[in-house]
Order: sequence, then structure tokens, then C-alpha cells
Amino acid sequence: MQLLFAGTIPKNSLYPNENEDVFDIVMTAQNMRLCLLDGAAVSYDSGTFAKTLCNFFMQKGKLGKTDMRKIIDSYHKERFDFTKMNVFQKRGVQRGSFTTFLGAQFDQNSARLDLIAVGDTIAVLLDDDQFIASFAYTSDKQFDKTPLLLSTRKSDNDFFLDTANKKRYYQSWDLSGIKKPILLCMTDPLGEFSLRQKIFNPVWKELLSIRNMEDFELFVSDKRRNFGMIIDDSTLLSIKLWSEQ
Amino acid sequence: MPSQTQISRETPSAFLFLVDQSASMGYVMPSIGKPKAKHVADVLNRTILNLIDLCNKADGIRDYFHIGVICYGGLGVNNGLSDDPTRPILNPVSYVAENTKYIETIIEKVDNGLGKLIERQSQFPVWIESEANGETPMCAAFEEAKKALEEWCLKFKGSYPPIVINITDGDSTDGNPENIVSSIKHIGTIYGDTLVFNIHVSSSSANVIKYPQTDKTITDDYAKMLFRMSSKFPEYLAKRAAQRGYNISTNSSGFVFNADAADIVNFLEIGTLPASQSSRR
Repeated sequence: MQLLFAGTIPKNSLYPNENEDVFDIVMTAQNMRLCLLDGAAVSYDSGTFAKTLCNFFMQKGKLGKTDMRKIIDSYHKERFDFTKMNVFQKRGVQRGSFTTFLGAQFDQNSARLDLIAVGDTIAVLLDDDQFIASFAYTSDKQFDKTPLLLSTRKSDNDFFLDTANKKRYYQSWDLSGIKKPILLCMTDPLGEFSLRQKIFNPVWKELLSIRNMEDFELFVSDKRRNFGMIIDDSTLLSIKLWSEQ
Repeated sequence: MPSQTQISRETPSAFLFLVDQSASMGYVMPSIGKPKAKHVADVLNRTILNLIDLCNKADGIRDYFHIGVICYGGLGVNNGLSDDPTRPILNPVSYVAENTKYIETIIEKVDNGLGKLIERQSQFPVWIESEANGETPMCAAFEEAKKALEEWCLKFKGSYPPIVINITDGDSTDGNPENIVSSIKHIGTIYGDTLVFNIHVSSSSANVIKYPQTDKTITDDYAKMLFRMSSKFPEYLAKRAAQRGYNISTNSSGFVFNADAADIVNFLEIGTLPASQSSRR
């Protein structure tokens, strides 16, 4: 296994600290765990909420019903003191903060890649540079709709916590028949662009050639300028899930 | 308008509201039992609050929008957001948020998350107070708007063009404002000219005219003038209004005559739709 690239570019280069994409990856010889989230720009404190969820998943490798409730309770307790907040700050917290969620875990022994995905941050499975599958979105058209997001308001998360909807947000890929499996994870500008190009002009080779921030910045600025890629925080993670032997 | 035009702190959007505070604005709207002036002030305060909410982040209020309010009536023409004569008419949202007149505590009915309505105490900032006296110096108000817009557009050439929303209930008492409005509609940014929308508020909801495409069905001369003073909806705005369920196309004028209480709320929502786009940076 090998991390080929992990990097993020803010929507506005003047404010790099306001990038609300959050990610983390840990890898051993046999296992890999990663988390990638895109905090919604329209919400009050989405970057911190995304970091909180990311830290939890990286530690525990899960995100269930009770987990979400506990995370939200401690997030509010640690982050906000209503007695010291002005009217606008209180309104911001009450309005809520929102984020996408993509968690992935790979175990080389079982050759299984387990995914949890909410919203428009997607995982793409390649065999070398050939497209095999994507999750949770499979078409660029899905990006036209407002994505469902995890929220700091507990009742907003019912869609995710309802066990009847489990198939929609959980996926498990068996990689045993795939010779050179590669996992790409990306936030919506790259996801929408890549799935738009999927059939006629596959973009996978180009994405796999990105190995440093300079490559990534060139790719993003070219696609923003010349190919109508959405200008928003853009993050790409690419991981080789096979070994050369 | 390029599809990727974005609202940022470097290229903010401007919303300028002109509010008629003449004596007739004191008449009660029977449908809600409140004077027109009070309803307009409430809706405008709520609109300003919504604009601030869209810029409100944990690290502070980001100046994606600049807001101005010009009040005109018996007290003449004045800056509705500041008593400081040196302040510009159009101010960044962070300034507006820091300069409320007062904070009102209201009881709101909200969903308890289980589908049941509960009463909750909420704080509601007030910038514009209900005021109704004297005449309607609309020409002077538009002259003031013109100065503010010229200054603003010079500074923010790369922004969306400003939107001016005039809320009135009667004829101008200081002359015909058409020429001034016509010159305002030629002030703009690299992406287009300033849009001027007019809403005529009525105590009765009879013969309401909403977003007309022509003046063929308008019989009242005063209404015809307001129609001529109103900009057509640009494509990006017509599209967003249509997505929200409003019967608006690029041939529609930003004009409502004999508006009732709900029409006022809708008009301000439509007029500030550019703010709700998701591509703020």
C-alpha cells in the first residue's frame, strides 16, 4: 500500500485558513483508514464540526447512531458558552453547522474496502487507471441537487441514522479480483468534474499523475479556468491499495 | 453574467433599500392589523438579519454583502443605518451587525424537532423603526441613492451590479423621479447595470399587479410610472426566482403594485436572492 497523494486547495487563495475540507489518513503495512469531509460554507462552524467527526472516525473507525449524539453533545459543550455570545453568534449556532462525510477502511488480508459516505464527497475505485466504481455518487448529475449533510442539529441527522437507509450510506467493496486497486477520494469540485468526464474523456490518468502540491495546483487552476470546474475548496486523496511483488 | 461570478469580500454584493416613511404609511393593513410602516420595518429588519446570517461564521461576520437603507418622509431623506453623517449609505454587513438600534426579545413558535410547535424566546435585532409622517420626497431619496451607488460601483467594479429596492405607498411629492432612476440604471459594474425594483404597498389587496411583462394591463398612471422605473429581471435572477416557485421570467419587471403583506415579504426575498447563492468566497 502507498499514499500517492493527499492535498487540499482553498476556494480563495487569499484565505487559506478558511478551507473547510478536512482529512486524515493512517496506514500500516496491512490496513488503511481515512476520513475526508467538506464543511458546508453556508454554515456557522462547519470546519470545526468536520474536524470533530474526523477525529472520532480516525480513532474509532465507526460512526453510528449513539456516536453521533455523543459527538454533537460534546461538540456543543466544548465549543460554545451561550452566556458569552452575542445575538448573531447564538443564531449561528442555532442555525447549525453541516458537513459531508467520507470514511474508508481497508484490510489487506480480507481485501475489503468499507466505506461510509454522506453527501457529495466521493470515493472512486480504479483498477490501475480504469474506472471500476464510485460511491456514494455515481453520476455527475447527482451534484446538481443539494446534498444531504450531517448536522450539529441532532434531528437533521435522522436520514443517516435510520437503519432503513443503511445501504445508501454504507458500502463494502471486495477487491480480491482487482489486480491494481487504487482508491481516490475527493470533495465535490473534483468529484463532479471527474464523473462528468467519466465516459468520454477519462480523467483518472491525469488524477493519478498528481504527486505533489504543484501538480495539484496546476490541475485545479486549469480545470477551474478552462473546464468549468466549480470554484470551491478542493481535496484529493489517492492511495495505492496493492503492493509490487 | 459569467456563471462563475462569485461573491467575495473583494467583490461583495450590494443591496440598497429605499423606504417610504410618509404619513400614509401609518395606515393599517387589514390583513395583518398592523400599519404599513410597521410591517415594512419588520420585513426589512428580517431581511437584513437574513443577509447577516448568510455571512455569519464562527470566526466573525464576513463582508460578502454591503447594505444600505435610505428612509424618506417627513424627516427628509436620511441614512437608515447610521446617525453619523460621515458614514456612507452602503456599509459592510459586519458594520451593520455591530450597529443595531436595539435588540428586541420576541416569542417565536418553532418546531421542537418532533413535529410539535413550541414557544421560544428569541432575540431580534432592530435597525429600522416604524415611522410615518409628512410627505414623500422620492426624488431626493433616489438622488441620495445615485450618489451612493456611483461611489460604490467605482470601488467594486468586479462585483455583481447592486440591487435597489424601493418600498413606497404613494406618489412622489418632490417631482418625477423617472429621470434620476433612469440614470441610476446606467450605473454599474463590469457585470451589468444596477437593478431597480419597486414595490407599491397598499392597505387593500385589490387589483394587485405582480411582476408584469408589459404595462398593457396597468391603467393607473402612477403605476405605469413605477413600471417604467423598474428593471427587467436578468436571467440569473429570473432563473433563481422561478426555482423558488415564483412566476417570473426575463421579461418580467421587478415591480409589484398594490402589494399586500405577503407580497412585501416575497418581494424582498426575490430582490435579495443573489445573496443566497452558494458560491460565496
